[in-house]
Amino acid sequence: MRTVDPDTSSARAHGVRRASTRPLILTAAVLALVGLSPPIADSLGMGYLQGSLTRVVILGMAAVALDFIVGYGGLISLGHALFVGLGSYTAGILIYNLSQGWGPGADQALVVWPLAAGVGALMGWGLGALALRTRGVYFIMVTLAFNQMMFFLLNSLEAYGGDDGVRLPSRNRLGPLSLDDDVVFFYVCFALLVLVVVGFNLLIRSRFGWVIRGARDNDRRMRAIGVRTRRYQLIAFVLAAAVAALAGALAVNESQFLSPGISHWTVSGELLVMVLVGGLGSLIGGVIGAGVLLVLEELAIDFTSDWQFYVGVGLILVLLVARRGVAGVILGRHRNV
Amino acid sequence: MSSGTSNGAVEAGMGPTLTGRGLDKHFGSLHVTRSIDIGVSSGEIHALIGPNGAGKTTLLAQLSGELASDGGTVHLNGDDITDVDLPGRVQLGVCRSFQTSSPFPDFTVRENVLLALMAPDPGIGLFTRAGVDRRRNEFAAQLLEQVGFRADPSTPVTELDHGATRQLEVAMVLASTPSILLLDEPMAGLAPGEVEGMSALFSRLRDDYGILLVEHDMDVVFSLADRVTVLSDGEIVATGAPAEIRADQRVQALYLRESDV
Repeated sequence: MRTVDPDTSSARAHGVRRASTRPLILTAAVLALVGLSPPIADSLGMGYLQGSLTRVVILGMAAVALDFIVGYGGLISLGHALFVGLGSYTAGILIYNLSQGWGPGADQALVVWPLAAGVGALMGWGLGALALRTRGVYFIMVTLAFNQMMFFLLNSLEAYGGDDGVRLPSRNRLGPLSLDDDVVFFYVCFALLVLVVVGFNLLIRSRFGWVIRGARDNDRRMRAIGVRTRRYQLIAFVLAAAVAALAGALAVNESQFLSPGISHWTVSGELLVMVLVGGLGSLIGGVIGAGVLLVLEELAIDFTSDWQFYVGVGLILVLLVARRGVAGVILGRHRNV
Repeated sequence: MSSGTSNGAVEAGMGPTLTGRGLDKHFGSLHVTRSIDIGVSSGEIHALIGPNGAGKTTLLAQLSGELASDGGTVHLNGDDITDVDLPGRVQLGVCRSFQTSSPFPDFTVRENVLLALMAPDPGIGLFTRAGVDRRRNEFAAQLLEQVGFRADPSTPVTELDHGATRQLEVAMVLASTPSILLLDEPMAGLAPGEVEGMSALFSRLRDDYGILLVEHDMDVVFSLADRVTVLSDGEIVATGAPAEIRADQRVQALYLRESDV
């Protein structure tokens, strides 16, 4: 279909910020680096980082979904951890029930993970429909309020340890793969991350993606050309919620510890920080941000107990010099659509 | 109501007709439009003039469905569309432009037109790759040519000069395949030569569309319009043919006293 691409050629001539293949090359490079990180860490004698690397993949996945609605949809949500927590409890409860021999239980990943994503989508639909009645700072506050409601709800589940949480005896099972092997589990998460990144990259280039990107900049105008924008924004919110919930299900597998802490609003804030550090509106920036923050945390924690202070200072500096984050620095004028 | 000519006169004509009756809008204690009757039909340019704050833009917003009226009805070809929202009215063929240029900054000129073209597509297009349909691209190019757009269509809209942006605005409105155009000062800020080009364009469009035109440039209004309605403090002062409006004492007293008309 696409015989010529006058868009990019003339854009280069003009030297303006335009879509090009460079963001996709960066995306592929980051994914390749993440994919190769376990053997690299191993060969450097830092195999102990395996857990952190898996967390980079999982939180990166949640952050990519958050960037989709914040960077492309203009919906600044401080409630993303709500869905991570929901997915985490969906998976965690099923695993725990099975081990205790009461209530509905399941440990098959192919059942539990889609279910977690589905529960996240359903909750995203309900809460998104309510939250999208507001805009701007009110949307932030409403999503934050929902986030804390979920946090206290999960805190009150005494059967699952209340605010202490419970330890899970095992991870989900996935056919012949042994998810209890940390490296195998990493690559399963990584495969899902690749799917999520590719999926969202296709989405922002679809008609759906054009609409939410247009509505982000001028919602009124988008309605004036005949589009009911809220439907599109709601679906974007639902998709992000589903991916966040899937990440939650993976996270509880990683830690084998079910705790409401993962749904605290500060986790929503951390995910947003990952997006900002990595590069708002780049998708892959979510993974970069997750990597930068978790690695910084891992390194800084050896030197000082006040690492969060320094991360905060670093964040302010990054956003002062590079408003489009790490991805923005690398890509310059080129943007991921 | 002290309108010079009946609004019904033109409604009896052929083609799509948009009619507002008794349109009312309050913003708090401010009564912005007061029981306004107005109509526009295919084949005519109906100019809406009046001093700043007369309620022209509010009236346009009520007709386009962007603002819900506090009173009154809007009909399209006899069908009551009062409760149809802004996107719904666009799909029915009533499309507005904005006083301030507002193309989507993240897209090129061509992509902006394509956005307007693909707006009525069914479904939400999760799996439809945007911007690659050849026929759509050709149609977008035609629309841009029709409005006299000369620059490269793959220019990001943020780099356009004002005149080209106004042309793009008109192309985007036409891309919605409307029958009724509600244009809010489409020539604001244009250079004299550009005004001429735009006037000629509207003159050509008159055959295929009904155009309600909010405009400040009296030369344009009187040379272009088939009908002129004068609005002041939310009320219609006069409606009639340009010659009648020119001669109207109340209009001169109210609006034209400082002008050379």
